[in-house]
Amino acid sequence: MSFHPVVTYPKASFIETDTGNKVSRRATISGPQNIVLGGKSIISPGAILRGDLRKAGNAPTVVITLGRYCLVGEGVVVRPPYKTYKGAFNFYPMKIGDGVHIGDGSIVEAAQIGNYVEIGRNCIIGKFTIIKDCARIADNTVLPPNTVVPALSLFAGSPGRFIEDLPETTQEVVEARTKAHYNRFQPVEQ
Amino acid sequence: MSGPPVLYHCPCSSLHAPPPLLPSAAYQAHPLDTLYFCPECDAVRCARCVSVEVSTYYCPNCLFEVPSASVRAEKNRCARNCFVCPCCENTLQTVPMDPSSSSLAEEENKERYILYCTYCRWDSTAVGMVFDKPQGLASQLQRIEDDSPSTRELERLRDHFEPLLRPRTSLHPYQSGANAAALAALRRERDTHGHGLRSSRLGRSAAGRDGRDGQMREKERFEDDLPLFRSLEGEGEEREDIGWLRGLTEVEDVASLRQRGAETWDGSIRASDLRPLRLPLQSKKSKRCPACRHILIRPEQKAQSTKFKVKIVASNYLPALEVSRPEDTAFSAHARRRTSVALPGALGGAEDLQPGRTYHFLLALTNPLYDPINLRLALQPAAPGETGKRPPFSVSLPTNTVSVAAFTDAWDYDEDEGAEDELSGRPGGRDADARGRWKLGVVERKANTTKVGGELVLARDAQGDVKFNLLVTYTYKSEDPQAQPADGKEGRTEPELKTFAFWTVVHLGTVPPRQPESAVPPPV
Repeated sequence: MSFHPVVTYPKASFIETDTGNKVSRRATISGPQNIVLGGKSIISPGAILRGDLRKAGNAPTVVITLGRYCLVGEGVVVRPPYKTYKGAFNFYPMKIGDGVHIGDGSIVEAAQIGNYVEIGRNCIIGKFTIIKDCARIADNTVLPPNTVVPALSLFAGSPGRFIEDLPETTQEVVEARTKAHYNRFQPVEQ
Repeated sequence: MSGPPVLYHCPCSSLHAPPPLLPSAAYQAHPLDTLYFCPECDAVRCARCVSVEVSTYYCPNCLFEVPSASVRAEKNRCARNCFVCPCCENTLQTVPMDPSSSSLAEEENKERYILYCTYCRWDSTAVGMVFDKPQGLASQLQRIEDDSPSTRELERLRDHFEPLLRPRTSLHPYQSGANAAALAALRRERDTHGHGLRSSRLGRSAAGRDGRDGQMREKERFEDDLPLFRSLEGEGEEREDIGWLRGLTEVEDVASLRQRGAETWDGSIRASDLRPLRLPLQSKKSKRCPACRHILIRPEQKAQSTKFKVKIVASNYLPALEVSRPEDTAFSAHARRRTSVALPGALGGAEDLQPGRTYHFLLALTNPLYDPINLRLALQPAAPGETGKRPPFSVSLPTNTVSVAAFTDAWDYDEDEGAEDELSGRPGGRDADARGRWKLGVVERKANTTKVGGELVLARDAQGDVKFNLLVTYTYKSEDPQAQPADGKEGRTEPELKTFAFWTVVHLGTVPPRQPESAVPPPV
């Protein structure tokens, strides 16, 4: 990681929260009161977070939970999953763990994404998908609804299939990479 | 990833790294993250040479941990509700047959269920499978599997050979020769009736091939030979298939080889006949050193835990090497700035190298140990066979010892300064003071990372990948507690200095193939 250059952005183009989240002004955040960001996460320009798609009723709910050191890439759509159960249509909350990178142009409707998961570019993660810790989804993968991705496995293809086990060091590698990525992302005054 | 990769050589195939451009060399070099380290043998181990044992079985869909006792009974497949779509290998969902009437029918308990693929929309009514209740589908399917001709054939084969294997092994349970004798008899059996076994699998009778007389003679010679195995199947089915194939109009109607390979043994060749299969189980594996059986990886019992009870990996022992060409990173940073995309992302593909030019590169050496190390780099001399011709490129690196500071957890916290003294972080000023400032040797020291500069000179006829082997030797203080008592009661002795060496393959870039007009035959 010693050779990655610092990536700069004009200070005005991102909003930095108290906990260090950096949210692009060009990202669409619907229903921000229903979205929890863990801190030090980056929401890129053009990303869409649909916090407004919530369970019916007036009680306050959390729709999207994002952990620490996450990256939501450019043009990513994060949309909570929905289904009709016993005749009632409902949205269900989405949980995303720490150190999760979602590549540019992906669409995510997962129910649960564990810690240190890498999702490539232009992926489609179907409704109610469960992705366990340290899994990796290669670029251009389509995971059909209800797919389960076990921990430490690489999925690729359309439909996404198990390709191989990831090395045992994946957690440390991804953790270091996501932290370094956040630390390199620096504002400049213009 | 930062720039072109550095791969590490595992000594399992050959002690020294082979010339990196050999096609076979690619299989002997691995990323550092995938390597293990045996502390007993003091050696690097790779995923190809460690011995692997299964520690837990689990279903990759329902994540249920299957006790190893039932794995065999359930034939290595999930015994709950997980099935693979016969068309697209997606996992199937159990859905009510008529979704519109869901709530009403559920109460009346009349609902019937089918398996449905959310990807290709295949459903189990295509093969006439409808279930009365949404649970325990696997047991119903396994019954069908157990009833299939190929399973029965396998059972028969097992019954056929068991009388031969069992008495011998039970007579001499502790002699390894017993098994060998049984195997030898089996081999004879296979040699004489090998045709028979194979053709009976194809549904033909063995007798037609071997001829009666030959069989009788074999019988006399080996008294404990088995009677000839006879297949259950006839050949009618095959005829039928040929007739069906003749009338075929759409090639998609024939099941692909992949699909038929996944089916239980004697799958139909018609795509419409393919049945859903129970999902194969996956396993967590523990890994051992192939030489001394020292445990290197032992996962936690829980299937979805990413923790390990034992995890001895090379990245905790060997210094990490990273390589970069600063001109290149400056270039891509510059390009990024120009297009005003202030976003992170992978560095674009490394810029192509041009023949006849000189390049500088940096090697970052990161020490994972809690003690400082002294490190020495050495290039591999050209192989004796190749001395006749001039190598297409030459690399110079500092040969003196480089010290790399110890790793401490504190380094994690001073990340702020990284922005300032990052060499490649300032694309603008780079070109101006680049002349003469490039030097061989230590360029920068920061935390537990030392960067050294090197130089690459490309010949005019250079072509293809620029890769070279690098021998890294480092000395460190041994913390081996066993080494201390051997010295007697002298108390704390001087910590022993230990040396370890390993080969790496450094990939600096690619020289693009020449334009056709100036094409010359590539050097062999």
